[in-house]
Amino acid sequence: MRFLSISILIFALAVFLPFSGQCQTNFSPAKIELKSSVDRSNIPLNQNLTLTVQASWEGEQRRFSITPIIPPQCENLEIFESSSLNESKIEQGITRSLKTFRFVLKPLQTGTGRIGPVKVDYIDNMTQDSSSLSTQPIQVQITPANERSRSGYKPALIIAIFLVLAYVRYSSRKRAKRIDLSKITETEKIEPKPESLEEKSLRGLDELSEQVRMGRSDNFSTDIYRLLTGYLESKYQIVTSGKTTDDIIRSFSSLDLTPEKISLLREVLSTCDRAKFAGERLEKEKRDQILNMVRKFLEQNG
Amino acid sequence: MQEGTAQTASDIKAIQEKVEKESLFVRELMVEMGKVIVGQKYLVERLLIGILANGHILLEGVPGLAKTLSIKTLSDAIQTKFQRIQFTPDLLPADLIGTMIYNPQSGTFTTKKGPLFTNLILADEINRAPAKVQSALLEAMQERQVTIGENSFKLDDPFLVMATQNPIEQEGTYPLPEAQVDRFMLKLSITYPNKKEELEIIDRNAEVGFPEVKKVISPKDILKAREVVGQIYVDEKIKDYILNIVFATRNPEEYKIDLKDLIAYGASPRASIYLNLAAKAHAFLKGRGYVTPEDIKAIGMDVLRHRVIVTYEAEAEGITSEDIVKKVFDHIEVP
Repeated sequence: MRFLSISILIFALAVFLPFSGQCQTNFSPAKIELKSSVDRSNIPLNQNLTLTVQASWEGEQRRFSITPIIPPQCENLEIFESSSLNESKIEQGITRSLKTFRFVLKPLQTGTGRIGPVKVDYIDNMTQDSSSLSTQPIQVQITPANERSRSGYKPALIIAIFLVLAYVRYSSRKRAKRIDLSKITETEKIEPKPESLEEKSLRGLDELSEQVRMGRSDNFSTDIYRLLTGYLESKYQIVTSGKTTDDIIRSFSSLDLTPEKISLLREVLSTCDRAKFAGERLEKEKRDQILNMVRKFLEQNG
Repeated sequence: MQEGTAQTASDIKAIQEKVEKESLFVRELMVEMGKVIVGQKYLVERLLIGILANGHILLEGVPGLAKTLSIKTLSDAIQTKFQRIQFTPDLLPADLIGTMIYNPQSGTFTTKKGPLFTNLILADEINRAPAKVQSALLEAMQERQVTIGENSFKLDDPFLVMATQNPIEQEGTYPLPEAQVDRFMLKLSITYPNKKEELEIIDRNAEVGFPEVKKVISPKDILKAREVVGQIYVDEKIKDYILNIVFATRNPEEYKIDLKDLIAYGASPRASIYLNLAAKAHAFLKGRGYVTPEDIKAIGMDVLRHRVIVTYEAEAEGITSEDIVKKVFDHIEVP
């Protein structure tokens, strides 16, 4: 009996082992698919474009080693941010791996923008074969800068209107409780208009002028520099905090500012820099001159 | 500090006048170097920063980018001595610093000074020589003197070492340890010229011989200029900016910069010292008697790229120290 069971076991091993060996060596050939896309084909000058390059394949992430890709050559567009993401998904029992590269591009001038091909080099870790794939070049149209309220600012605008209306209703109710209705004059019925960005900055400028007049403006150049850059940040959505004056002036080239306005801003910011870093003393006349220049800019830009 | 106090304003004005007077040679020097070197303005400017701020330069770039020609031309234009030392695995410290030679006739030892006794040195492919040779050079760079036998000898002034590393071939090399790389004021990374520049290189090399470089200044003038560079005004706000940048490489989370687990070691105190010195030299090249944040940003990458050590996780993600330095500069508020 024992001899019989050993014989059956040896027979079974002799029959199945060759098959199992075959299964181990015959791995499935996996293919990488490469796609590239942009989030839109028409891009206003003051907005950003996202280029997505995605490599996907069936199997685990470790199946392929993808070397870091070289950012594409661009015409009329400038890459200022990039990121990558690794993902694994199971779809109908099959593992699918994805590697996504995202590039945020900034249009440089109106016209046609071209994004060159993106080359992806990879090594199949199972076969040690290396290969590469390329995407097709992409062309986009760059249109003049949009008004702020046109696109992405709609939700913010709606929320702002809602908040203003809620505040107006609340305050009018409160007032109704306090004031005798018979005493309300026609002028009191006019609701205050929401303050514009320029009005807010001009108010800040008035406060600064008052400090200058009273001789309490020890950090005048820093304060006026911050007021102006703060306004530019809100108005044109440019980041100024990690930037030097030259960086900020360079970023004006992509905005719809006239050469006169750019020259005025350059003069104000450079004067402030000299006061901040070269110990240049700004006399009252010079301070008044700077204040007038900023006032002129804000009024014209409103 | 209250801005524009009368004392500092007049002092800075005097420094400004000195800088304007002493930096007149810069433009002429650039023009002379431009007669021989096509493009590479960045390299030439950094060489001048090195020599004016009394620092040394480590340069990484593929072969054929006019590294030797640049430093040789600079040496001709400023009338200094120049030596090129090719580092090889069989090089010995004595081949650099010199040795004692026995004279059998007189029965005495005489000192034979090595090639380090010069003004400008191109230490080509420094990572090809073993550690003891590298240390001999780096010690001389730091101490500015060498000891042969029982005698110490001061090295010439100005003294600038430009060491090169080839980023392509790493086999059979002895990479410089971080502590020794830290002794270089600047680490430069130079790339290929653009098409227009390369076309000009073709044309110039088709001609017979290189144009003669006019001697613009003397080593004495360089030392005088260096004194003026030392006097350039650095405001407290700029010093704060330097400290914020250096400290952000050490504790990025304190500055709300998302670099967690990407930095193994932040920049050393030498980074702060060299940022200040190199920024002064940069301001001098621009004819300014005071330092602005522009100067810090212009030389920041060259001072910091070899001083920020990334973690394995960052390396695996393909993140370099340059990416980290750039992020730090983008996040730290400019005064």
